[in-house]
Amino acid sequence: MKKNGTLGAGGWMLGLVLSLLFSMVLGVALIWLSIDRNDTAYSIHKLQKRVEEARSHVNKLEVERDSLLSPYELGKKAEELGMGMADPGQVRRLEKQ
Amino acid sequence: MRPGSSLSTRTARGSSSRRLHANQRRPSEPRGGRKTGGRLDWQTLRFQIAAGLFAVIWVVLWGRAFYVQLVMGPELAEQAMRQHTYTELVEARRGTIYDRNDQVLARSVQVRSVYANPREIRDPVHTALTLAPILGLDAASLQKQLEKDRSFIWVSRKIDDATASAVRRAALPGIGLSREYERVYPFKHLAGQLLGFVGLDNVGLEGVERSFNELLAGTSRKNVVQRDGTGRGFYTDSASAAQGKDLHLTLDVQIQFIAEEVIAEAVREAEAKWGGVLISDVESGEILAWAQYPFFNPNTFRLSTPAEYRNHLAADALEPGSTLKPFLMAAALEEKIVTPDTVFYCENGTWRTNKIVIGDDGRAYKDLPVSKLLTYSSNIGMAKLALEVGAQTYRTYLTRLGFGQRTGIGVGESRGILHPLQDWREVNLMSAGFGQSLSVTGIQMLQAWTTLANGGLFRPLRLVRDESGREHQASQRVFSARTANEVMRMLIDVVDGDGTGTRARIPGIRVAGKTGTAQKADPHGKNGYGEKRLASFGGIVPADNPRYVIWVMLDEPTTVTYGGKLAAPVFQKVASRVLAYGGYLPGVVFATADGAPGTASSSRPARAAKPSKVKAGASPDVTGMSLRRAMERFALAGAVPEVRGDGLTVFRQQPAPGEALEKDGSPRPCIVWMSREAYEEDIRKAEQQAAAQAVETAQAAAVPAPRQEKASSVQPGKTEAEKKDSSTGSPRQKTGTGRQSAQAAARTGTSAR
Repeated sequence: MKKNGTLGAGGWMLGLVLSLLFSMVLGVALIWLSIDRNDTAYSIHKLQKRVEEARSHVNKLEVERDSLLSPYELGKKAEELGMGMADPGQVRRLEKQ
Repeated sequence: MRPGSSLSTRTARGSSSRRLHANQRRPSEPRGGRKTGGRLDWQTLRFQIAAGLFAVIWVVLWGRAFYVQLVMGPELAEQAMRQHTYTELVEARRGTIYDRNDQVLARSVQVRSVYANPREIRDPVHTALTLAPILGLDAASLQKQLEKDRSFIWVSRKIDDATASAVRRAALPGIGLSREYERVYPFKHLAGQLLGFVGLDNVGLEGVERSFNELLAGTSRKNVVQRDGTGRGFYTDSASAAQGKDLHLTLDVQIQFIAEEVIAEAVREAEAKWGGVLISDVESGEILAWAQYPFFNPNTFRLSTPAEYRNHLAADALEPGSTLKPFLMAAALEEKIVTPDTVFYCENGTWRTNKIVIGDDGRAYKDLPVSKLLTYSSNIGMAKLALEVGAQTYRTYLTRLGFGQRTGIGVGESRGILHPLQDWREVNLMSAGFGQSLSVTGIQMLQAWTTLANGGLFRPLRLVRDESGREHQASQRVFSARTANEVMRMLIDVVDGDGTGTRARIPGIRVAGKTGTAQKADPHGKNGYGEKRLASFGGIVPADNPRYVIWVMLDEPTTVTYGGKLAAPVFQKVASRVLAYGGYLPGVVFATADGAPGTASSSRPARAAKPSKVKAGASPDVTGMSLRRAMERFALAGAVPEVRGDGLTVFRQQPAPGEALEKDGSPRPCIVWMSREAYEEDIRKAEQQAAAQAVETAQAAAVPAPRQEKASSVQPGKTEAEKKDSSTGSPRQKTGTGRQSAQAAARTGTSAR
């Protein structure tokens, strides 16, 4: 009975130590996860910014392209090259037989 | 037990017991520093003081904790939230506007705006002197702004990337850059008035941008962002703003460009106030072009006046003039009030009635058949026709064509003015017959002309391709196909015959159209009208197989005012180029075998004139075809036609398509005219021949022709055949135009040579 009682106290002590250790591990893990979460969030934020900037850049380039391909610009170029809209009788079509 | 030992033990115990309790309080002794044998128990007192102190501290701590947690808790939590997080406004990207071929008409791009927090600025003078040259602002006024006791002010909005970089490099405390969206119109002024523009806060203020703002705008939202001790933020909520939806218009950028280029040139030449062209696709009712001049560039809308960005084609209600006449004609034919052969007396060009004078613009017509009222655009004839049709019937047809109501295409538009029936007096009815006393918008006219081109079937015009519901709107029949075809024949005669629209002719393509020259209302002018005019032209092309309706209007031209001289050439130029763009111009086809280089094995006209099957013994339809193909088809039918004139395609043919090639067992003469000049030369010869024959006949008979009864020449409901029965001469003879009889003769092949 005495022996059992001594062993029981040691068991509680061991349990307590293990619990404390486990809590410490969990605490460290929580801190690590939190830090990692923050790092990931920063990375995502940075990448989102880069994507947004790239998208914005693409948009601006597309606007530039559209401006250069506008019918007015193409009309000017065509005129410079001596081209124009076909008149009746000037159209030639190729058809497969 | 030994007594001696027992005593010593007891004594020892007694002394031991005294020693043991020397420093202890006896249970029966009172608490506190009490004198023990005359001495104060300091040890106990210290202990008690320490315990009391701890107890007080403990209570204070718990009290403070209680106060902080429960009393100040919510406030502190809010404060902490403010310190650790901040809200960021994420602006929704406005949807893109496309044309029918996915060409971008309007798009939002991200730009930077400069803001300031004056409370964080330590040296406003230095900041203003540094920032002003970068942003192109006045340093003194900027300094005044920066000295204000505020936490946020806009310094400059929507700046370009280079300027934003310069601001960033300056690294001024209290100055920051934020992101915003700016609306960009890559094609500049193309369809400017139709598209409209958006304000600084991306809210549509005019045009399509305003009408479809809800769809395009999207929903901006505030994101909660956490920040660490260094102030770096990161998103805890990944949800972003609800982006605006894209809008696909029915416009075709290329057709729009063609229309704009031509109308700009015409308005400049005519020195008109403004001009516009609308083009619709007959089959679908889709609007392909919405062109207006002077142009308006939405990119720089702040530099424009409201008059420049006003969408005249939808917002201005004007009296249309003669371009409305085809609808009265269609109503009269549909109701069987007249036939194309019914003759109206046109009062020799001036009709005084109901205290007004109606004139035919200097032209003196006597008797005109209904079929020629549109060709010669007789106001008097149309006024008389309007009286026969009646106000109620005419108004009903106008309503069914969409006049007096908005078309519902989705832009801000006027209803026009179509007076209630009770306000239609006889004078109003007569003037409405030639397009006055009522006001219409350009888009309403396009709707009505598209209905006519569509065989009398009213199909609502559409400006947006993916607008749900509208694509499936039921069509409504206004005129029968027969009536529409009859009116189309008259409109072809306006252009191809000797009507007012000859300047709208396109070689190789049949055109139907009507000119209009409307007086503009002026309260100070004579009879309520002034000197200003509206020149217009409504046209359908190709007339044989309607594909495009083109509406042209020029407001207040000064150099030339007639629709036939001003608007018809605009139509001709626009239609030719649109047909070329669409691949509908007559051309030569080169046959190729599996993509091999072409050999000119056959030729054919535009897709518009689709070759039909050749029936032996019947005249094939070769109008618009090349000579080679026309000869082939006549040969298949069993005839060899005579060729007149030089041209690329067949202008006219004889016999008419479908007619028998033989008459009474003998072959009829077959002729193909390759040019208008050759055809008109033959008509002229026929006229001379007919006139000579008439003289000979008159001399031989030596009896004078019966005199016309002009006063009662308005014979509604009486056909030409009926008139033939009731009088000695035919209406054609009555008009005294040998030309018409010659044309008839040319058509029958008796005297066309």
